[in-house]
Amino acid sequence: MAVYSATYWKGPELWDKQFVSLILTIPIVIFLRYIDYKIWFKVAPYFYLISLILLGATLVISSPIKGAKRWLYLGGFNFQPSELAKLALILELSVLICSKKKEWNNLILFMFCLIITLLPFFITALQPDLGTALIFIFIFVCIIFISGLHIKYLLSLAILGLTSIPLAWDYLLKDYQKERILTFLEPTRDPLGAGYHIIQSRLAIGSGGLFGYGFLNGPQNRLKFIPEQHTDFIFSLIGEEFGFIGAVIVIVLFTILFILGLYISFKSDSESGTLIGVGIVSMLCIHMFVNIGMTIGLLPVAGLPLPFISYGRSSLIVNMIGIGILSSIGKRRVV
Amino acid sequence: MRIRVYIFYLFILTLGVVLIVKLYQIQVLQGEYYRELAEGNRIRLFSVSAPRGEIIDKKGKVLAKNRPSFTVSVIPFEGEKEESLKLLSKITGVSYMEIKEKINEAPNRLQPVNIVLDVSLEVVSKIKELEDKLPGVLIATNVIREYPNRGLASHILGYVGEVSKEEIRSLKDLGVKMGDIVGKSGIERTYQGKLMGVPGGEQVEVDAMGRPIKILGTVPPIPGSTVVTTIDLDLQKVVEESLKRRGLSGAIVVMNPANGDILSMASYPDFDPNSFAKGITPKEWKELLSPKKPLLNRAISAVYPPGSTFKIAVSLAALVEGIVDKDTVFYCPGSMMIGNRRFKCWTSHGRINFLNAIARSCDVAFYTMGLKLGSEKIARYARLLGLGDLTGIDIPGEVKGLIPEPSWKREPWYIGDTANMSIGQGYVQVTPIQMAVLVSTIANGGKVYKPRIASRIINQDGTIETLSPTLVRDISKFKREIDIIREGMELTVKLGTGSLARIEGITVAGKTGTAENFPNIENPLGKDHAWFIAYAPADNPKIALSIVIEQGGHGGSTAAPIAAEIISYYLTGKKIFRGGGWQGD
Repeated sequence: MAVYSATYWKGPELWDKQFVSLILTIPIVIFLRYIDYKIWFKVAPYFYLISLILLGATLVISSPIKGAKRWLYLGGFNFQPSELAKLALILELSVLICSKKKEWNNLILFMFCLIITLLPFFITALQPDLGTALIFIFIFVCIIFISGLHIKYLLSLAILGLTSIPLAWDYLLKDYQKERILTFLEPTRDPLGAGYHIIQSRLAIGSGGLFGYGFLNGPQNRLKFIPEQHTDFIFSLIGEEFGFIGAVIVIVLFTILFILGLYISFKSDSESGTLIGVGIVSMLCIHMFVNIGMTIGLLPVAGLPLPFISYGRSSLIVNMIGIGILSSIGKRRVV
Repeated sequence: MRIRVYIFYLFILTLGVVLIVKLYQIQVLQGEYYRELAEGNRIRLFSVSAPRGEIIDKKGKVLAKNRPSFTVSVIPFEGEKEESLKLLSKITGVSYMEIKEKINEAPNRLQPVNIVLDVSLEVVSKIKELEDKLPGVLIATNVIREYPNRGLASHILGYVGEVSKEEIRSLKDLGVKMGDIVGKSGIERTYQGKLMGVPGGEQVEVDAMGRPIKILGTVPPIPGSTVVTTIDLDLQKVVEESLKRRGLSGAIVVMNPANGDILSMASYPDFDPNSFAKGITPKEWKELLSPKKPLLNRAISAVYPPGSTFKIAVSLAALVEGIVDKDTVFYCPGSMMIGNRRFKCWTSHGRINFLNAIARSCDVAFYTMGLKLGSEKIARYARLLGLGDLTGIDIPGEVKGLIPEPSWKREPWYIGDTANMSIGQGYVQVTPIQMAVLVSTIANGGKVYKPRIASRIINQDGTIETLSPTLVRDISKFKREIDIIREGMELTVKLGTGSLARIEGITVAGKTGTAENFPNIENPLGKDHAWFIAYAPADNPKIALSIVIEQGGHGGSTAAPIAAEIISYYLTGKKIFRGGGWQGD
């Protein structure tokens, strides 16, 4: 717990709300730690269905924020069902694989897993939120990889995926998404538009140098040159204010967390525990990599938050639940 | 199975390492570069324009000054919402479509776009009140040029506007940048370098919207210098009223013959230079481009045949060359055969001496003199008096006019051309300012001064630059001949064609002129332009003037009364109104 609490960085303006959420989620983690994670086996299918319905509901009833229908207004705050769906998918996949591995043919199981992954994928892609949608695929790949299903399925899927990229470019991607990718390849092509995020963010991180400007002193941040500084681009603020050293500490802490997560997953007393653990770690890990990669210009802009650090309560709660489950798995390991 | 576990560990580690390597590259290896870039991102240099210097008249009355003005602008990035723009439209009275268009045309989404210039305080307070509903709407305070006397002396003062691409080349040395307000004509243009002052600068920390956060350093601007002119504002009013009352286009130049100071200069129709300072409306601009050409300074930029006023130059030539003397007698039967054409005089003067030939403007007498002199000699003396060349007045736009010579004309020069030239017709073209210089030279006994409008520059530090009068040429060696001409001009007003310029108690000297025209687009009936040049008092001239009224008919009936009104006011302070009447050419 201390590991990610330490990495927690207050959102500059909204940190009151965020802090309250953090405090409120700690009991959830502790609670989850003490209940047996196997309880999830029973609820997984329902959990999955509910989150799928909520996800579908965003397309129908939500009001768009910045052109995208990602949020549902639930009980006083905007809630992002796609966050919940990630967790639901992890649980459902793990449970499905463990319970049906022996009964079903490998190919059928694989196809079944693929279908339950593609459902949230397409709904999310239609929101449109391609970044989050691709997370589902990534989680799927990681879980299948560790589950021991034959690698040839994954390879054929990869080939299929690659060949469909040109198709997706023409039919699936929205103009702004194409623009983001093109801009990523050449940020200066639109310095005040789509390239603005990338340039400003890299500028902020780069100017942080080795030691940074110091806490709350990052001029780029303070002067709002960085867009979405408290959500998606929070890492550029870390880079600017704490420099290379601070940024490396954050990444190292994350990596330690992931390694520990994997370690306890592999030591789990059941295969489903391992798969759930790997799923949660890969979910957190890909968020971190894509988010940081985006702020330093390694990857195109995708609206993925940095786990535990970005402002965003849906994501924080889901991540904390994930940690809770992971910790519950860790408690029940083979020694 | 174990191998996959290790691969997974390795995968996670690789992701972390990739990020750290990339971070090392941009933060440590290129950190310095990005830091410099970032500083440039947030520190901006704003130029603080210096308040423009004032222009004042010879007695210190203000002709041009500055006043604060409020500009409403919108940052497109922030203020694009339809409802807020509609609200802004309601407050400012600018149509929603127009605002939308201006915002759409903005080259930079983060830079404010001007919506309305010079709004009233009422609008400012309304916008401040509804600030919350008007995101991205800014009110900037700046100074704009104000001409408190509106159209008065507009051609002398000129007007100001944003510098054009063409102008910036010539003004670059003064430190003028794009977007600066500069003088476009008149004194504003000539003394741009003195009036503009030295702009200051502000080093300002800005946020992503370009909004100032705090000022890091300031260099205060040095306000422009005050230009003191030779203009007499009260006289200028009388001159312009007198001209305007005739309802015809024309120009008047009033000079101090002792030094070339321009006391007044009027050109009609005129314009209100304030409309440029405020941002000119399409309607106003259309009016300025009308066929009447209100922007044209007819006193220096328009040419007219001088008609009989040119006889002063011919007289000087004939006297100096010894062709005539005071007592020379001519016989005028009302016309004269020159070549194979009959050249008319406006009446039959019968036996007439030289002085009366001036006073009664006898064409036959001047045909006779002109033919004896030849065109080259006429041209030489006309040039000595300042005709056919720039007078060098210190406002832009002056034209040369034309003193023709056989060498100038491509076709053969006929004797009839010389005859026409003798009475100021044919190819001869002069500007009103040239005629003012000519009459001043006669009035002061032979000193050709460069006319000037600015006499002093008062700098902000209190130092004063005095601009001394410039003597261009001294022809006082012809004093005797000039005195004879002066006698003739006194006679003109006393009992000749200029009698409508007579004023109780003041001896006025003058010469009338009626410039004949061929019909053209501007003047379809070919109406005559009325000229009158004069000075007073005759024995000790304090004022010299040249008047031209386009299509005004006879100089003696239309222009001479104007001279009386101006001279009376200037020398006695008495305002008189004098109608026209037939007095002969």
